[in-house]
Amino acid sequence: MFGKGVKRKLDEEDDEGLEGQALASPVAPGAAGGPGPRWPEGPSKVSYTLQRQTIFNISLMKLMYSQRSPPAEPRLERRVLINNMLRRIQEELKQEGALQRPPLLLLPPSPPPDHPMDETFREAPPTAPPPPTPPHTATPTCPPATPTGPAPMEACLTPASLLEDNDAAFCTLAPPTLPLSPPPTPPNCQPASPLLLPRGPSSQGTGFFPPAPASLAPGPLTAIAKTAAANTTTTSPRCPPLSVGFRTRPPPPTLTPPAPPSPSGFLSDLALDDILFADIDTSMYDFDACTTAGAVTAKLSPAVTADDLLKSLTSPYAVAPAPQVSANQPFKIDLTELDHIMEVLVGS
Amino acid sequence: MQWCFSQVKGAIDDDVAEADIISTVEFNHSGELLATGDRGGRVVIFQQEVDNKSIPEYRSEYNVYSTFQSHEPEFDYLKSLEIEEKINKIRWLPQQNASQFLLSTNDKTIKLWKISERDKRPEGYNLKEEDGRYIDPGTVTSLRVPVFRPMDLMVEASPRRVFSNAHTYHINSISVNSDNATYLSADDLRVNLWNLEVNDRSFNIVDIKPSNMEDLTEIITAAEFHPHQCNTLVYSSSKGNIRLCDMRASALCDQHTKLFEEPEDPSNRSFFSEIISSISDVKFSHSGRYLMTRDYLTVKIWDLSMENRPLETYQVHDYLRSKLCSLYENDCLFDKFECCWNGNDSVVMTGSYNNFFRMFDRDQRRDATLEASREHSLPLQPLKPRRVCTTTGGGGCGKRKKDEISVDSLDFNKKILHTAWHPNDNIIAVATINNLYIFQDKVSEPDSADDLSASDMMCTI
Repeated sequence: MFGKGVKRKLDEEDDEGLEGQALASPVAPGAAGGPGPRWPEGPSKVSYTLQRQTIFNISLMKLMYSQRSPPAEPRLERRVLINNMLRRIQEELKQEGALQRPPLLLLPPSPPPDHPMDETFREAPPTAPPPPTPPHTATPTCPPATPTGPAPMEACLTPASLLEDNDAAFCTLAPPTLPLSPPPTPPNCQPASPLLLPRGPSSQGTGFFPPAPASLAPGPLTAIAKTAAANTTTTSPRCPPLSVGFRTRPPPPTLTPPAPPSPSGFLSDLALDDILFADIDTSMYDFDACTTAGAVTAKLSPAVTADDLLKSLTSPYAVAPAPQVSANQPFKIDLTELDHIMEVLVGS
Repeated sequence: MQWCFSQVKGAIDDDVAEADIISTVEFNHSGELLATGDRGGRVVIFQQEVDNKSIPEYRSEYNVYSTFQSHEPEFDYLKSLEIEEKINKIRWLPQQNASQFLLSTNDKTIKLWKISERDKRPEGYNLKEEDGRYIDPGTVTSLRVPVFRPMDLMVEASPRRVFSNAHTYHINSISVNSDNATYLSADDLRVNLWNLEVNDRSFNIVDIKPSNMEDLTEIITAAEFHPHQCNTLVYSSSKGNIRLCDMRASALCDQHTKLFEEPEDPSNRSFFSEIISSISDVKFSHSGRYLMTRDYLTVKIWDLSMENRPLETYQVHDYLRSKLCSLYENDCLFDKFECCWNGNDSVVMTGSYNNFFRMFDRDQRRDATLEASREHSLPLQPLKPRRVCTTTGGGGCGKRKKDEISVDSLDFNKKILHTAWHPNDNIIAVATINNLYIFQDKVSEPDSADDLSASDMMCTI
């Protein structure tokens, strides 16, 4: 909520006009077989995608942040509603992904069942339909060797700190591969959501584009893969959390064990990355990589769903834990880029 | 019907202390007492001024009767989390003797409080001085009988029962049964039945917790007993449906007897459809024939005999429909508004933003928007109806009239979540963030005051 006595003006929001425009068009395609509104075409589809992405980001941040000064138990209703929202968006993305190209997503299985006495609510991975032609069969099970966090994480997750720390690598990913039509606009980037503000001057780097609808390549956003790269070099036995898009921090020389990064830090990048990487092709790749400390199996799924990662967020300690953010971030990376990242990570 | 400002209780300054935020408002069964709970765990009870009750213009004068600390903050050591002392709900028990009883609850613990008056005290003991010192029996030469002498009125609140450790999740509702012996308490996933006399045991009557918590998609948002049928209760969910359960059917009422649900309007579907359909309050009518539910944008009246759609739907602030994303972002979309019936079930009331509150006259099909604010409140002057104009074509309000306000100027920090209506009279209590406003309807003619009875007062808008 906004500060005491502050009069909230809805029209001050950066994306207000956008929302209005996006919301004007019918939203939410009908479920399969249902009589819902049809999928919006053309520019409204793009704005729909943008809006969906915005809502997704907002939802993630809501789950991560606790605004209570003495940590109190988060409200279950709020978490359930936000989680349902995320799941719905995820389902839509999956459907789109299934329609438009052979799905390269593999979803990790459920985490080990909770202790029967554990009554905390953790978001579950969605039960996704099995992808028709997976180029690789990844067994994403990563039995958490020594879960140090409140919830054991899946194998495909990367320590946020690693990704952040090596964002120089990720910076290279951005512009050349982007099929964005308009040229880069001046670096006063407007975040997709007013809440997700870019951090510091370093965020005014290359390849930051305001989320203009026209600049978005319409297309399904599929899951990320870059986590696997960083995974290879992790020294922590536990399956670390995923995070994405860290262009704001300089890469440190060494890989540190996962430390809770600032949530606002990588979420701000997250928003922009979605737009930037909207059309980057993902490719299934084979990671012999996650063999560090024997904690992960050889083949990893590059695709992580928000829900798996959100599990870690929703433990009772979610108020101050490592925000192991997921991005069920549907963007894709070239394999070459990934190799480059791996080199950087391993080589350092 | 015209509403006039009567009183406002609470601090004037804009700097609101968190502890002073009002979290619940409730009249007792006679309307003579008005209880409020706040985030600091305190309960303040106001009493209708006895002398003025017969004077119609001043019948809604309420003064502080009792204040006590009901709940204290606690710390859950197992989870390393604080348990807030915020009073979520207060429910009065019907009066059975000279004392008043109420139930107050925070997230985890329910307490039964006895509020009793003391206006006499015994004096003239033989073996005890007035200040309590003992008198040596050897010095007593004559005996006397102690007598009760009047004293200044003292109102004492004492906790009679503490009902704890029955809820894993946050308690959102309590409801006293018409049998005056039991009550229910509901949290996000369970509804428990208690006996008022027994505080160490409760019976679980509804449990919607899935075996795998990861499958959880729906939670209980409110629950209430039927006002006359002691076997009937309802509970609402975050998915916008209401389940009516009959406790005679089985011990565990997971199987509902009736399910009230309106099919979704496909033209209004959006990302936020589920969130705005989540029911924040459910209230039986006094007659027991109808059910009122409040979700984010509407108030719905259901007939208990008709499950597939509500009888009436009233738009509270439909102009917010285009702002849902912003409201989601700043968490306003999760605000839980309450609603209430008037004494004869002809008018319903609920709160909105910008310190507006809305009334819907079911009989006359009229609605009104009023504002609770000090600037616009002159004693005994009728409140001016307010209007919110929506922007059309992005140009802002076209010709904005004097009392109109545009949607973009609404203050979303000023929300009225809690309202209450006197059970027998047209007196309402409206809680802004930290102030309690009391309004009464304007009395038409002074000479008709003699003929006014309680039922006459319940006129419609």
